[in-house]
Amino acid sequence: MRIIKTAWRNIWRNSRRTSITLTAMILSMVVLILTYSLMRGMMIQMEASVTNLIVGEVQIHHHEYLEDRSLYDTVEDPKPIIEAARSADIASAGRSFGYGLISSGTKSAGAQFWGVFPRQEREVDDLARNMLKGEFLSEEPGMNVVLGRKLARTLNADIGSELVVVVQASDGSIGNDLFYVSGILKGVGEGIDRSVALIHYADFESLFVLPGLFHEIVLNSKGKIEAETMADIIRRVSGNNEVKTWRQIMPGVSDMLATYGGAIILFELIFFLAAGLGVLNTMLMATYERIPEFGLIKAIGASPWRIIREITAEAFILGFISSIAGGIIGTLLSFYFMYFPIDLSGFAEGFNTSGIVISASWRAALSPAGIFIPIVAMWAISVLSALYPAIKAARLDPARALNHV
Amino acid sequence: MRHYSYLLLIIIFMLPCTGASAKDDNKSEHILNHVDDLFRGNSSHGTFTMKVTTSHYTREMAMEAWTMGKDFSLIRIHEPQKEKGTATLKAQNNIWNYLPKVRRVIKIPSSMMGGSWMGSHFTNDDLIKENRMADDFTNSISFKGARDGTDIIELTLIPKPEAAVVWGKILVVVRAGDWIPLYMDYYDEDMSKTRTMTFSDIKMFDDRALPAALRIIPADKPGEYTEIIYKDIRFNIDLDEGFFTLRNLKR
Amino acid sequence: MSSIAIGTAIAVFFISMADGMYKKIVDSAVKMNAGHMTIQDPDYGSAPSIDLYVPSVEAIKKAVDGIEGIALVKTLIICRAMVATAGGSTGAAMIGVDADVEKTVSPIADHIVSGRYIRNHDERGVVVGINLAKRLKIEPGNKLVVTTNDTGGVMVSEMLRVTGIFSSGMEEADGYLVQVPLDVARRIVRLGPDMSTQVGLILKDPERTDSVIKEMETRLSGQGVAVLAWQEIMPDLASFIAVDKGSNYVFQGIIIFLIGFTILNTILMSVLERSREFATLLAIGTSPGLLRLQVLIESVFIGIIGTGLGLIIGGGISYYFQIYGIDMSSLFTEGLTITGFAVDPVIRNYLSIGLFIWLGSVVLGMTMLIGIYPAWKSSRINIPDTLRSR
Repeated sequence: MRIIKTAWRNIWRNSRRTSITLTAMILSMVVLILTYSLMRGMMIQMEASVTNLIVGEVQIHHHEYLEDRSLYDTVEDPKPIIEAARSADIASAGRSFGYGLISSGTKSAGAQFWGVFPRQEREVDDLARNMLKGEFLSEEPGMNVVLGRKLARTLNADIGSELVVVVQASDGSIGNDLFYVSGILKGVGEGIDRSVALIHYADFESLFVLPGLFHEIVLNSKGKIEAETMADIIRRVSGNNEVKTWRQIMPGVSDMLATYGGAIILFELIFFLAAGLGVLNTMLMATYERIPEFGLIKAIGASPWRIIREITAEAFILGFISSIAGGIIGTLLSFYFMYFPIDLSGFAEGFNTSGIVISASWRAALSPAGIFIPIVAMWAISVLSALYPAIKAARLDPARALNHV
Repeated sequence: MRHYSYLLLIIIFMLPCTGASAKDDNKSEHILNHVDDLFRGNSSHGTFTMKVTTSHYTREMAMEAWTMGKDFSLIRIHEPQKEKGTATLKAQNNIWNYLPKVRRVIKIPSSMMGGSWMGSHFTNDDLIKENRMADDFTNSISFKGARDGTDIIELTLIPKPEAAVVWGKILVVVRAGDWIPLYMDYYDEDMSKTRTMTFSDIKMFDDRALPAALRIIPADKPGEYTEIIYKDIRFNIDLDEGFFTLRNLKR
Repeated sequence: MSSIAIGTAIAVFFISMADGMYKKIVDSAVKMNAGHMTIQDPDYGSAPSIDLYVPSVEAIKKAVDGIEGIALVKTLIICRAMVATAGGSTGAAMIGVDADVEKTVSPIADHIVSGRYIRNHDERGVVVGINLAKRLKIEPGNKLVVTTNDTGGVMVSEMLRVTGIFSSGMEEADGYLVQVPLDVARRIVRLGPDMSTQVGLILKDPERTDSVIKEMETRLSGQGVAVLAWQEIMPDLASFIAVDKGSNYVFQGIIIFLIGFTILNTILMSVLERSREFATLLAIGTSPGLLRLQVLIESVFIGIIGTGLGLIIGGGISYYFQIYGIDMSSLFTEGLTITGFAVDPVIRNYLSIGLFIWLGSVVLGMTMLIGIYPAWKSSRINIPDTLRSR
């Protein structure tokens, strides 16, 4: 305790030097925490954009569906799956898919039609919140269609445009009807932008003559349950159907995210390095500056250990203060950016790459590790970095030290 | 997506147009032209049904068709109720569909010609083909004699080097006496049989004998087929280009 | 000083790495399309159609003559078609290309997995994507009948023979793209020998895109064509690069900021450390201004050396990777695609004079700015107190 008291006094003897040192260390701390939470925020947002936008965390299909996308390969006996999802508090949505021709009169294009339940879609994913123009489908069927961004452009279609849809129904007849564009999606992915048209499930049913059947069931716990675990739960009741996690469905995206994750860790290490060097530098300078002082102490009989102990104690305290203070400020700033994300829309309106949508608003995401690791690490660094000069000081020849400028 | 015209043209055109056929000349080219001419005509007006059996459904449709040369045709569906009034117009190189349920006409772009026609086993190649078989294929008689109790002549057709046909070989088998086709086997480039077209139920239509039933059977899907049965046809009727218009399409 | 060097080195490395990556992505994308800039009919962009063509490719080639930095001129004919075999049919994009030119640049020509790429004198040659080949069940040597509308709107068909199959890693290309020699395309759609849908220019130095576009616009005015930059043809890619660059700058900025603080700390400390010395100097009559200047010059000196060192180290490492590249392909099991374009996952850094100048001046400038406070402080020492204390 006496050591602490002495150290404290020593520190504040040269308050200017100490303040500068502290400020430098606190600032490094803040930056460290802030950058980590920002980068982590971006990672989470990217991953969430994959699972929360369209793909969900787990998908179930007829075991042959993904190979040839046949209209007739619908999910077998979906009831137990939906029940299992509901009891585990996982949001679920059924979807149907079919191909056909969509025409705006002057222009026509092949399209992939998605029959969806608007309310369930809203629970399971954020598609409804990603409208470029207009609105998502309403709960009641009404011959409305939501187009992918590029499809809308190909058809020269806008909100309210009337489109003729012609498909081959499941009974071989020609399904055809008029649909009205209620909304256009933002860019969400190459394939979807170019060819997807979303319609209400009931409209899909009558168009394709596929009553009560789905091609896909999407599950999303919004991060509460890990995808693999969820897949295992579902596999117990899914019978002959195929259950896949989003990583299995989009391995390219999974890879890309892993790479980003790696890059983030790399960056964080670099920041650590930079910050650590800064602290090292600071402590070095502070100690170096006091060599004459140490010479004096030695000259009057203090043991080398005493010097080391003293310096270490000071470093300990400095480290402690700056870590805690920096930690608090860093945390507060991160919280700020959690609720008020950085707006990047000056650069771009958001885009997609390999299936990941990167939004133009950059939100931070704190994690306990992101706060405690830097705190502990910086603390350790400050103590350790004071050791080198401390040892040097302890070994000094008092006479030389006294004359040290 | 539903491009009805051409093959329908072919189907509907089970009528000789040139009248006298040189039955005594067994050169393969003449036979081929005869068969081809069965599929063409100056003009015609007929009704027929088409039945499609696949592993997922069986459907039957009743249709009426008008044709003029190989450039013009108008086909209207009368049954079933769901499709009643649906019509296709082919005028030169454009195809339009009229959909009565939505009361709209859509034009079919060439790149959307993929897929089966009306859910049947006919391909777009069939629909768009305008050329005479004799022009696109080198042909020769490969067999003459009796097979399954009937005297037949078998022609082997190999595509000419630059012909725009997807097949590797076609076998055409006709009745020795009147050259009425019995069946045609289509082979891909690797010489595996892809599909067979059979002709049967020979009857009198207007002033000539024709097979009333045509069936197309895919080789890789046993049990599936598409069948066209003619109810009646009349030839050389009074038609001109003015008949084949979008306005008539919508009627 | 070492911290300046290290920080600068890091910044150089990462910025050049990012620049290298962007360059590569743009490169790949641009080679899949017409080029860094595309010359086409002014109405083509909003409503693509085979009858909106460039009237004279020769005229454009002549106009290009004399402009520096053009690596290649690409001529393209683009049509939507149906392709069929006995095994099926599907819609596709048929692109007529100059095989000799494409062989040197095209990712398609580079990724032939069976058979061979087309040659200009192939009368009926075509290469198809691997997914298309699977769907239609074809191999090199098989027939492919292509049906499309010609410039007169008439539907035409021709038989082609597959010379090779490519696997580019791009879903759209592998499933829907077929390439034929220019003259074959011209023959099919009845375009004259000097016409095409697009003419593209690939530049040696992408930075010059804007100036070359301006030059081309002047030379081609009145010829009924429009000149578009790649950013207009591929806005998604342009966006991606902009955002990625933006976030990269943020990170680098943070690193530099951290450095800056360390520098401030160091200089300040060194000033304080020498209080006695400064006090003495002031006492014997040195002007405060001179002292401030001296301190400032010291900072500048440290800055120059540190920055220089950092640029050299960072530049050296970056240059090494510019030559050898960092192979990240093990990280991407399915290959890497950015906004639909396949990118070779070997990252090469890209150093540019601009980067050195920019970074060098920023760090140096920051060092000088930071040096101002300590310099000012140095002249404000309380002389008697300092001299008296130990």
